[in-house]
Amino acid sequence: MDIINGLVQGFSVALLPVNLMWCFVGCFLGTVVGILPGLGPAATIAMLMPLTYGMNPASGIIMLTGIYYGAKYGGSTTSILLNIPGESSSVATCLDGYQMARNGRAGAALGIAAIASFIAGTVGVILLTLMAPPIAQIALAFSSPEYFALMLLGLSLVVLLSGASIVKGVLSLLIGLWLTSIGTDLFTAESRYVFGQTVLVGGIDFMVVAIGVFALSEVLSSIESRDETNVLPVPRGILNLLPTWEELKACRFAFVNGSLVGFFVGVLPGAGSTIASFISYGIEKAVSKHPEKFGTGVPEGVAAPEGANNADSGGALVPLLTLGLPGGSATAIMLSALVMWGVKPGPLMMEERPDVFWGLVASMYIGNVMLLVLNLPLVPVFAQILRVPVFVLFPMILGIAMVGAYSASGRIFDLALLAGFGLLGYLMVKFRYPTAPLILGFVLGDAMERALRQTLMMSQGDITTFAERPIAAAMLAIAVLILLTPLLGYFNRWRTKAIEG
Amino acid sequence: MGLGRDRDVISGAVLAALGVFILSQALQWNFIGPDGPGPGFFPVGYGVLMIVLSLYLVVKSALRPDPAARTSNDWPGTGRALATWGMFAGSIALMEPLGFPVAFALLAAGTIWLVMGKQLWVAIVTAVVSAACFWMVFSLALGLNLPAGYAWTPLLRMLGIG
Repeated sequence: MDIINGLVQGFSVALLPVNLMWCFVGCFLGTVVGILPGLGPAATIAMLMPLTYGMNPASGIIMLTGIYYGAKYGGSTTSILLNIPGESSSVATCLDGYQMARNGRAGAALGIAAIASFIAGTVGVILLTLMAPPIAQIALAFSSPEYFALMLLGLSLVVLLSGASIVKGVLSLLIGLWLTSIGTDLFTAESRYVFGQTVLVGGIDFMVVAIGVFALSEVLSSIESRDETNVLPVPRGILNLLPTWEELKACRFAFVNGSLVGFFVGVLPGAGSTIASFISYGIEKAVSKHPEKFGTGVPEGVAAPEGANNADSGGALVPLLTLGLPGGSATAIMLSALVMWGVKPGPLMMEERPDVFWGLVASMYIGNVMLLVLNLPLVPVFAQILRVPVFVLFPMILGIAMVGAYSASGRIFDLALLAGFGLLGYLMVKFRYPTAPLILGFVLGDAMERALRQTLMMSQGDITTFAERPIAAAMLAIAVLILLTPLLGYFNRWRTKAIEG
Repeated sequence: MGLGRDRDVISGAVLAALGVFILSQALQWNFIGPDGPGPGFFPVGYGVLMIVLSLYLVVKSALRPDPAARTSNDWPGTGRALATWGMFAGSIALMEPLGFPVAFALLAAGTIWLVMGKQLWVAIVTAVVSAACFWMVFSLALGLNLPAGYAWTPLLRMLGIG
């Protein structure tokens, strides 16, 4: 009953004309960003976040989340037409999507991707609606020790799944923890690592780190690789984008598979939609009557990964909204945005800010419909974006990155930091360090330190207090196990294969 | 010499040095007091972990290089990326005296001409149009207070716009 009341309230918020407009803007921008290789949703959300400062929290988060899941829809377009994934989560779609396009079925492949995205995206939101309230109820019993253990568990999973080298993942996380320590200590007002600069006493603005590490480094990496593009033609007219009945029938299991795998993998911090799409593709191939045809252009090879990477969005919002625990870079930026607006994601969010929580959930139902409409008939229009020359696009992204970082604080010093973090992000990519743990370490570092110090204050420095609290002890034990699993040869081979896939 | 094996050795050594810096600073702060952990408590923890893991990375890479890390580096590509970064950093240095539109136009023109190899007139036209679009959208339409510099405001006044 609470869920139904919540949804009614949510739709009353989401259907306000202003929120419908922001939802559309988010979905539209997300689709554009998804189509553009070299610019991801995390970078876009980071760059556009300063523009939402004056918005009310419900409108702001509706728009930013629209960019997040809209990019998953748009990512398939480049995979199918260019064999270049617009997002990492669309890599699996290249395998059969591009082959379908080469076989003259580009329209059907784009249509199947849009339909699978809509079905799985909606199933993901339904599961989010049903699962969030009970999880929040359980999390109400959490105190500082449980929160510290939960954050450590989440970060362990992020490190485990972020790259082939766990050591590099942990080092990336530690850089994030250090960067977030810069400024004034939370408890004693002691200045830490400020290098005598008064501008650093208040700490480093999250936006500067996020835009530098994502947007700037993505542009530098794209300029380095200088990919040439050759777009396959998109058939015009909606009838040419609709798959045949046989193709849809072949995809029926893929829709279910993609929806469930995507959602449940999405709930896990660090797993993300790339892994979800590959697992879903793997399952589809494993249960298929003709596995040998995968990779030659079968429709279910498009439907399964596309469904999974869209259902993942609903799953990723479960830990973010109910526990305050982001599982990836984009959700970490969304967490930061919510905190900036004065909304604290966590078990009390549903009670304290039902307008924001349920407004966001309801907007995702509406957003999925908007995206289906945008992505079916308008896909030929969006495909034209791919013809924007990179010599126009990249300077524009650099300019937006500057505006985003500067408007957060109005200090040129922050632009200098932006340049520094851009170089750091680029070097991390070059030296094969994952960037997601750095961002999550930066976002969660303060809260983690606070929870640890509060726990030790309550227990008068006795660290065994973690062992005396069953939930905290269990989560810490799982975190340790997770970090030790790479020592198991078989598991580590599977993990590396999944990540490299 | 390629970046190859050195990739992990170099990054490990840099991070070990960072870890030593973090630890040396953190040891100057209160580690634990009567009220519980002090400001040095958390940094000591991650500083020590950073030193241990980065040294492990250095030793492991030196003794048993990862074949995947031995791929040769694309130096021309790296040069393009670093040149772009250099122009980006340079435009930030010029932002205070010249203002955002002029500094951004210089960045765009430099990137398009020098890094992307387009003709100079294409670079100039694209840069001027882009800078004008940015100024109109962000300063005029959205009201964002972008750096005006010593050059931009008088220029607008001269043109009768500001």
